[in-house]
This record gives sequence, C-alpha cells and structure tokens, in this order.
Amino acid sequence: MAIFSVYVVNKAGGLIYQLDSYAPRAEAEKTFSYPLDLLLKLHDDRVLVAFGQRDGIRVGHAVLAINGMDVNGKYTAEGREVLEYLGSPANYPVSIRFGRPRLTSNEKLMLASMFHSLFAIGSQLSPEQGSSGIEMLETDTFKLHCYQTLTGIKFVVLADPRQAGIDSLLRKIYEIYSDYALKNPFYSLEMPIRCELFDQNLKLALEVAEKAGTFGPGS
Amino acid sequence: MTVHNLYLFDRNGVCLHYSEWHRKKQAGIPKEEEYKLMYGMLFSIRSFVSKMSPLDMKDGFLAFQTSRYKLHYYETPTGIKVVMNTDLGVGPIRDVLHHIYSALYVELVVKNPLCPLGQTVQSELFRSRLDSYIRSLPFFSARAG
Repeated sequence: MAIFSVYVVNKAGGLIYQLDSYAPRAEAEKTFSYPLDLLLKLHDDRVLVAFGQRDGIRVGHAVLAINGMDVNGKYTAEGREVLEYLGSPANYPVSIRFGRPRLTSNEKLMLASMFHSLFAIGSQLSPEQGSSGIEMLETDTFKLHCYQTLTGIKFVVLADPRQAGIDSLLRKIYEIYSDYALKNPFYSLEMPIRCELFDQNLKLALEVAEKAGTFGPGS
Repeated sequence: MTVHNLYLFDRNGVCLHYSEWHRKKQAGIPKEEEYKLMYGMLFSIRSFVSKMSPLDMKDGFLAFQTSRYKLHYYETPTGIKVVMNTDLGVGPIRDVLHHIYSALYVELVVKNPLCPLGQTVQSELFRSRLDSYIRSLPFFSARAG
C-alpha cells in the first residue's frame, strides 16, 4: 500500500510541483552473449526494447545499466553509444539491466498538461448536468486521484489501487499548500513551488496517510 | 443506478455503435464530433496511463469517474473499444463489457456475412439485442429521473 507521487498543476495546466515518494521498479538484470537476441531501438534519447520479450524483460523497457554502470540516455557511462557498444562482439559477455524507463522532468510537464486537458474533456463529455472533471482514474497498477480547488489548482495523487483515505489526503495537501506556499511572501502565484516547509510538511502528510490510511477530521 | 450511454469504437476510431438510455446533458457539439472527441480522449488517456504507470500494465486503463458519472472502458487485443457511462453507484463491470463484445458484437456483427466491418453497425438485431441486454443488467433502473 503506497502513494507513488504527487503533482500540483496550476490554472493554466502547467506543473508547479512534483514529488515521487515511492517508485516500485520492475527491473531485470541479465548477462548476454553475442549476438543479442533482443531487438533494441533508439527512441526519444533512450534505448528501448522493440522485440524479444523474455524473462521479465518486456517490450518498452529501457536499458538502464550496462555492466553495473548506469547509462546516460543513449550513451554509456564512458560516453560511447549504447547501440554501437552492444553491436560489437568484442564487448561480450555483457550484463545489461532493463526496466521501465523513468520519466524525465520534461515528460512530467507534458503529462501534467495532458491531464489538465483530459480533466476538462471529461467534464465536457458528461451525460449528466454539472459534472466536475476527472476525479479518479483507475487502472490495474495505480489509481489517480485529483482534487480541483475553486481557484483552479489541481492536486493529483498517484497511489496503489488499494490505498484508502486519498480524498482526505488531497484536502490536507490543499491545506499545506495554503499554509506554506500561499502564505509565503516570497512565493508568486502559479509559479513552481520552491518552499522547504511545503516539501517537509507534504512528506510528513504522505507518511501519515500511508500508515494510518486516513486522516482524522480537522487534523 | 443507471446506464447513461454506450459507445463502441474500432481500432481506427470509427464509431461502430452508439446508444443512450438516460442522458440528461448533450455535449453541445454534433454527434460526429462527439465521437471523435471521445475516441481522442480515450486514446490520450491510454497513452498517459502507460507512461505514468510505475509497473508494467496488464489490463491498462479501466475506468474513470467524475462527480456525476463513471466511464467504464474495455479494449480487446484487436482494438475494439467498449465504453459505457454509468452513474457513480456502479462497481467494476469489465465482465459486462466483455460480454457485450463477445456475445453481442462478435456473434451478431463479425460473424454476420452481410455486416461490413469498419463502419457503423446497421444491424437491427444487434441494436435490439444490445438494448435488451443493457436493460436486463442489475444496475440498470428504468426510472426516468
């Protein structure tokens, strides 16, 4: 039972705060000999598996590390291109770690804006009057909860599907935002939140939510 | 507890079927555009969900809910998407959507040599069977309110 991440989106759809609190990573490290029986391709500055799913390595997984050293985008730790390195038989046997690619900050920004639009479309396509936007989105690996305030700020929490008490957590995050970000005289509205007290209190609130499962009234 | 409407899309975004039972608010745009908007929204949600997910997904996006309605989604490996809007009291109905695909769409449309695939379903049998199936569901109540 865990809370994976928190996103705060401003009125215009821009991401102003992001916290990854728990990231369960499905990773697989294996030793390979030449020739590699997986097909790798370069996509978006990462090396992804295009074909050849086996043993926990799925299509879409990225190359995370070679011989224990993390890769840097499409280059190895030494600065050589990963595809070129894995193409020459002299470098084998080689141990490669595959896993789900981590999101870069740019991607998080884009996903936050995408969610902002989807939230609005969810309200437009409603078959009932007076519907809000998407408040809860359910998948088999996570549940996304969203709370939109009257001023248009959206607090988005990604959590395990079985985690309870996220609604009160969202209200609590709103409280923490108004206490430590809005009341901070050096914070400008709609701008990225860089307030230490906000970070600290948010992390505390996430811990309490994970342990207790719910907040008491008026806490 | 009620069902508002149902959409059926194929893998190219063509709306194969749409029916509504209790819909109080129209989208304010022509039906064709509404189908495209719905398909586009679902396409974006699927892409969003596959990027955001911390683990590898098996079933993918299942449902979303707002303050007034819940949208249930089911996609087959061939790209046929069954989308149902219900009110909030309805739990997971993946098996219902699967039944709509396997026992209604596949049986009455795919296996019908006179039904061309890839376009809106004209079959009256499909429409009436789907309607009676939805009306027979335990969470469908015929009250107009």
